[in-house]
Amino acid sequence: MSSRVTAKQKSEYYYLKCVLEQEENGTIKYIVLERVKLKSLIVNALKQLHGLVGAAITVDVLKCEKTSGEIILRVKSSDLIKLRSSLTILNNYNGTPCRCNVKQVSPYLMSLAADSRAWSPVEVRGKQSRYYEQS
Amino acid sequence: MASFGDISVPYQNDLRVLMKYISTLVNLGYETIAINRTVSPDVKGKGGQDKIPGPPNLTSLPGLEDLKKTCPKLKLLSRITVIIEDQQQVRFIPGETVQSYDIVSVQPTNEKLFQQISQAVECDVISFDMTSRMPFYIKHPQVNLAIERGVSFEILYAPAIRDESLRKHTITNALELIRVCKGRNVVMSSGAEQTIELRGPYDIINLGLLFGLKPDQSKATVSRNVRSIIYHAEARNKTVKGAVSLEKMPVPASSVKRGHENVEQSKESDLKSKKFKV
Amino acid sequence: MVRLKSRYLLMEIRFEDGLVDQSLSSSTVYHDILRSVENTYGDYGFGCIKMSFKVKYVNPFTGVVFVKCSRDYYRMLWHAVTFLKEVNGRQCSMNTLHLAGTINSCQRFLVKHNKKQLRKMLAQCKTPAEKGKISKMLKQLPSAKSMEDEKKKRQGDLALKHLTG
Repeated sequence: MSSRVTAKQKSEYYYLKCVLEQEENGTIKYIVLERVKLKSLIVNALKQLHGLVGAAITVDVLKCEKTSGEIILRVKSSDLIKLRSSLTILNNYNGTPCRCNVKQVSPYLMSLAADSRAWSPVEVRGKQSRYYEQS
Repeated sequence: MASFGDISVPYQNDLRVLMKYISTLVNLGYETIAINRTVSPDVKGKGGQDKIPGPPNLTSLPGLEDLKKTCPKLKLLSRITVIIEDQQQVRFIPGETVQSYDIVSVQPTNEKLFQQISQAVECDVISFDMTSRMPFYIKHPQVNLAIERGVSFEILYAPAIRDESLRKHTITNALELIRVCKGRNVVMSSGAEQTIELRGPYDIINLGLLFGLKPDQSKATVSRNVRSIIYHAEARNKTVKGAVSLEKMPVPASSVKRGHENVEQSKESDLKSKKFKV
Repeated sequence: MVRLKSRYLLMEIRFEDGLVDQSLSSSTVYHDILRSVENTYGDYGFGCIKMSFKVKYVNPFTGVVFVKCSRDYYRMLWHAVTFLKEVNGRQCSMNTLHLAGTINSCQRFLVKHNKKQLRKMLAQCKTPAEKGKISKMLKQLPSAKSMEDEKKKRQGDLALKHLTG
């Protein structure tokens, strides 16, 4: 057995990893934005769904990758629901329809490095068939 | 854990467009997808029953095989939504064409019809038009009756993404519905008009929190409740009074042979006994 | 049976110029408040409030407004009302006087409040004609004692109902 570490306090911040997607002729294209534009897009979406109270939420753009379009955001844990719902509602950027796909949410920034949901059991099956037969 | 499901993908005449919806949903992490066809049967004209189209053939979609390789658990279902504006239209629901769909859902437009549907009509899902002001209040007794029968209620989220005024109405009506049914038997599904309006299951769970659901109830709206709808539909469709179901079993060849031998043997023994008697 | 519980807010509209607005109607107040809710809480707040929000009573002369709202979201409404700047196209501020669970208790408070206001006005009066008018109005209002009696009676009735089932 490996030892398990449990953090007792609730974490102050939540981290979100997301991408902005756009559809062009049936293929998905990632939108790459500058920090300032991205921030204003998010604040506008928050203002649309949650009004001035939503616009007052502090959202930090930690990372804005140029190549893959991956964005990492940070919010206070109490505002997570509001931020995520407004990202869900987000429907256009500069008049073209788009979607914000939230890939991962975690209270720890470190855990965004690996995505357990992207693991495919089919690939692993050959190596560790024992676990899958049991379940 | 029950897999995630979206039970309201609108049917498209162009199968390639339909396939695009399905592949987008699979990419987002859904595994159970129901293709929805909305009809409002005509009462006055003769043969209203015949005008309802039959369930679409979902096995021969282009590129489905490739998709099944990436997502082996993918389950496609057909669903019909009957919009009911008149008492007369209720009789179409037990009809053969409607019942041949995997999931039957009903959309009542006034309170009397809603009461009737929640009491007796054979359906799996009750949906409402949430994009405008509700024409009637949803009441506790009727909702409880429907929930007792295992019928679920549906919230479409795509209108909330599409437009500002639709969003307000959707939020109002969803809050009201969830308050009345206390978060039980609610499903959230897309009802999207474009593929870009589809969202991932975890985003929808989060949206459910905003609508006043508890986290576990919210998760059930896209997973467990969808599964229970499918079971309910199967119990209605493929069983006799929900108690007995008949299934054709493939009979192994060896047992058939042995059976014949037994019969022959018994015949022989009969003959022998007769002989003895003689 | 679960009841839909609500809160009643008793508010007072104070216009910037100190005048009263006779054309004030419940629908204009309703729409102005709703717009303020949408501004402060966005589409979500609008959706929450819309179902249960009602303007029960508006008095254009005193600027008193009764507002009903569902208990779950009354805070949203309250916040929005504090940010309200304009009613009927005129600059104003809203002052919340009382918050109650029933419209009855709100009304009782309003009677008390009005009495206090009238006493204040009485002290400020200069001509005897005005004085007479206001003291007459004061007499018409139910006295504190009668209100207290009524309250006790109602509580007694409730207790009796509770005991007898």
